Formats: sequence, structure tokens, C-alpha cells
Amino acid sequence: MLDLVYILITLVSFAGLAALVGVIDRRLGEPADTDVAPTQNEPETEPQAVSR
Amino acid sequence: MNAVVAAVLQIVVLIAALALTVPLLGRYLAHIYTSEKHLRAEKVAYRVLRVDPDADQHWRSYALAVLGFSLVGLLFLYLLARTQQWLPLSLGFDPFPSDGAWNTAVSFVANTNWQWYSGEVAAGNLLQMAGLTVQNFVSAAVGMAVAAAFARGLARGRGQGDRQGRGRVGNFWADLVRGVVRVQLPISVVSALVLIASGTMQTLRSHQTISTLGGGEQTVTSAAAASQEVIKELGTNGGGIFNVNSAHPWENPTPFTNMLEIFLILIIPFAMAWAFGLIVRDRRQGGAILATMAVLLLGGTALLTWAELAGPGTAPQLAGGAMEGKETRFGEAASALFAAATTGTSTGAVNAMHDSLTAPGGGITLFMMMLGEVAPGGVGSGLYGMLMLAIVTVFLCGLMVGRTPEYLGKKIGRHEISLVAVYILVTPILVLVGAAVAVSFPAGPEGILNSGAHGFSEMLYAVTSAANNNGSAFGGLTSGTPFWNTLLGVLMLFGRFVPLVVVLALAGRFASTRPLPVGAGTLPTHRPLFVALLTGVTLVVVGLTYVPALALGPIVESLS
Repeated sequence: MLDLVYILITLVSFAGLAALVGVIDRRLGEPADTDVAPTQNEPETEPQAVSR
Repeated sequence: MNAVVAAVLQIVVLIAALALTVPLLGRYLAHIYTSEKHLRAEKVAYRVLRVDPDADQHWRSYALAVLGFSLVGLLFLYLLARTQQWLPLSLGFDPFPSDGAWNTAVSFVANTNWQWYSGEVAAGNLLQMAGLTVQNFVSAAVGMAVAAAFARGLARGRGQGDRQGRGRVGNFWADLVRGVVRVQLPISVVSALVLIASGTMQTLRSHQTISTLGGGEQTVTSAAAASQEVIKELGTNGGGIFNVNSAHPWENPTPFTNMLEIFLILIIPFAMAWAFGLIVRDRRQGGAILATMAVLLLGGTALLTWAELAGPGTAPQLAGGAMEGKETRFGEAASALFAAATTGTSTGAVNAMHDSLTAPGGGITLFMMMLGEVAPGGVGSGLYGMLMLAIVTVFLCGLMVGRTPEYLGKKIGRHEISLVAVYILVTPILVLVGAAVAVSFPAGPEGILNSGAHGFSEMLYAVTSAANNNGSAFGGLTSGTPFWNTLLGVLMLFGRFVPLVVVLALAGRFASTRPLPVGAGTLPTHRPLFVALLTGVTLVVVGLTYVPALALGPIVESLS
């Protein structure tokens, strides 16, 4: 019986930690576009002035 | 030799050994955590685990991999401890009770290695070797992996040819396997051979019959100590095969092995700081972190050595220091150095009973743990702990002088500092609430040997050791009860994994953000001024958090 209790504590604790990962991920969202590092296919370039 | 001279000499020897080896190991660590090549043995491990070691994981999946791996390890260890009587090599020992098995499983998976039991009369060879020693390796490798992921998160975008991506911090399985195969195993094999050659025991026989000096015979417990001893220190684990840990002559037979064990405790935490500088492509940054760790450790060592050598009272003065509870083979200075190293890192091994340290000496060991295990801390956890404090430092400096807080070019905004705040607060909450729970329930004080301030210190030390994943025991506390096993198990579990999740989240955040160019408003984080600021912030944060609790224990005991 006690074995079940401790296994349950373990599973609930790790489920809580996994939920924490999800909560943080949702709360953080994505950084503002100006802060985001470019991806591999997206070369880092300085903003260009555009004439119309 | 004069005790003070001996104390200084051993510190100088240790510094010289570390100065020679830390840069070499640091460079090697930086290489293995940034290399894209896999060894043949590692490829076999990946096939067995059925994982892709080349996948660049988002921090979320990295964290879930860490949690999943640790959960499986915990359940396996629990099962092993509960069924050891039916397994081979059990030496006839009974199974652990449920609460004790859970405490032990959490303890070793969390790299704490708190032991409520006496290893030589409770844990058989299979449990020791297939359970506890395996966790000694892999739990340490998890800490190193998370620190490497954090360093990579900070590094991304800082150089040409980076593999950049939103929130991606590397591959947990590759980091884990490399930490074990390329770092811990080679060092452990060589060091174990050195220990065996120096007299440390290594046998599967459970008992030996020896002839005593008086001419009689005596049966003594024996074990495979050397192979466990090395990873116990190297992985900042600390769980001894014998109850008295490194004070036992089978584990730590000579002053030479004592120095080697202290060296093994410190080498990886310092080398991780050096590797950090190389991973972020600015060696000076790693140097500043390493210098701060060294300053804190040296300060703690000096104070602890002074406290033990000064040893107030007639008996200590006659003995030349406070010798009660210390191994006469090592004396006060070697015990003080070991105690500072083991509490400054999250090791928890002991070569003297910390309960027998002088009141200020015991207070210093507590304070070293309360620093958050950053001086130089556990393998991996020391580095990311100190980096969190570095971020707090640049944030505070930014507030004071109106600069935009940034660390290594990564802006410290609302989300980033919120994560750091969670990290900084989790452990003190666990320690202080844990201490409150311990003194509030009758089952808490029932376990202590002493009354008054010293008894409180015994409880405060236990919860501090557990929540900071240190694992050393003050002594004097009978912790093998359902109450203490469950309380300390909870503290160890959340003290390890909540900060770890937060670190990985921040790593992912940094990996996603573009580094700001260095400008006039950038606070240099590689100069001695920053080392002083970081040291000050670390001490002030800890001081403000824990002084009331310390006042009730070692401080009032020192003054009485």
C-alpha cells in the first residue's frame, strides 16, 4: 500500500514538473521579432532603407 | 609541522593542481559539448535508447527528456531497493522500507545522495553498483548537460556559423551520453586505479577477517569502495559506501587520497566554468565566473580553517585545535578544507563529522550550502547557479545606473528576470518552509540528538542539505523515519528539478534572442569589478534570505 503512495507521489510530482514546463512555455511566448535570432535559412542583415 | 603552515601548504598544492588541470579539462568539455561527431560506443547507446542525437531540441523537449529520464531512473532505483532481498549480490540484506527506498531513489537521481541508512549494513552489492553508482554517473551527467545547454543558449547568435533557431538548446541524449562516456568514465577508471594503489578497498567480499595488533582476529565489513569513491567525488555526489563516508580508512586511507578526493570534488565544477567561456567564445567571461567561485571557496575555506584551529575551550587548546569528531590521520586543516570543498560544491561527502565542528565552523558549512551551491557548486549546477546570480547582478547594476540590463549581449527583460527570480526563490522557500515544517511537527524534533540551538542547527542543516542537493549530514539527526524520509525526499526532488526546468526555459529564451552589440552602456562582465559585484550580490542575497534562520542556530550557539 505504501509503495503505491510513494509511486503516486513520484508520478504526481513529475506530472507537475512537466506541467510547469508547459506553463512556462505558454507564458513566455515568443520573443519580440526584433529580439529573435535569425534561423539558418534567414541570413542576418541590417534593415535597408526603401525608396518609393 | 605547524598546523597553520600545513593548512596553507595544502591549499597552495590544491590550487596549483587545479590551475594546471582546469584549463585542459575545460577545453575538452567545451569541445565535447559543441562537437557534432559521435563516438562508435555512443552510437550504440543512441541506438539502444532509440534517439536521434543530431536533433537540435527545443528547450521544452530537452526539459521533458531530462524529466522522463530521471523519472525512469527513480522508479528503477525504488524497485531495486524494495526487492534487493530477492536479487543476486544482496549479501542477505533486507529490502529498504517504502519511505527509505523512495528517499534514496530521489536522493541519488537528484544528485543529492543523502543517506538515511548505513551503506555497509543495508545496501547489497547489486543495489550499490547497478543502482546507486549508475545514478552517481548519470545524475551528474544530467547537471553537466543542462549547464552545457544553458551555455549554448547564451552562445547562439554570438558567432558565425551558429546553428540558430527559436528556443533550441542542443540534444539532451548526446549531452548525457558524452558526459558519461567521454568525461566521467575515463577519469573514474584512472583515479580508481590510483586509489586502489594507495590502499582504498576494492572487493566484492562482504567481510574480511583480519589480525589485530593484540593478536586476536576481527571480522570487518568490506566493499567495492574505490570504484564508487571516485565517482562519488567527481560527480559531486557524496553518498558513501560506508556510513562514516570518507572518514573511513577503506574509502580514504591516507592524506594523499584525501587530497586526491578533494581535487576530484573540485575539478569538474571549475572546469565547467572554463568551458563556459570557450562555448560563448569569450574566455574572459568564463574566467570571471571561475574567479568568483574561487573567491567564495577560498573565503569559506579560510574562515572554516580558522574556526577549527582556533577551537575555543581548554580541551581544543591543549589538542592544538578542535579535534572532536575529526580523523586524527587528517587533522583539523585537512578536515576543514574537505568540509569547505564538499559544502561549496554539492558533494556531501565528509571526512569529519560536521556536527562536531565548532559552532562558527558548522555555521560556515551551512552558509556555503546556502550560497546555492555555487562555490564552485555541483557539476553543471554550480555553473548555471552562478550564471543566474550573474544575471541578477547585471540587472541590479542596470537598475542603479539606468543601463539596459544585458548579459553577453542578451537583453534581460521582464520574462528573463522573472525566470531568474523563480530560480533564486525556489530553494530558499524549500529550505525555510521545510525547516518550519520540521520544527512544527513532533516527528521533526524527535529525530535530533541535541536540544537548543545545536538541535535546531541539526534540522536546519538537513533541510538545507536536501533542498540544495548537497547530501551531507550534520550528524546527530536520526533521519531514517517516515517523516524525515518523506520531507527530505520532497525537498530534494523539487530542489533539483524546478530550478533545472527554469534554467532550460531561460536557455531557450536566450537562444531565441538576437545579441545586442556592445556599446557604451554595456556593463563589462569580465573585469575584476564584476567579480567583486557578483561576489557581493551572492553574499547579500544569501545573507538577506538566511540570516534569521542562521541566527537561531549556529550564530546564537557561537555567542552562548
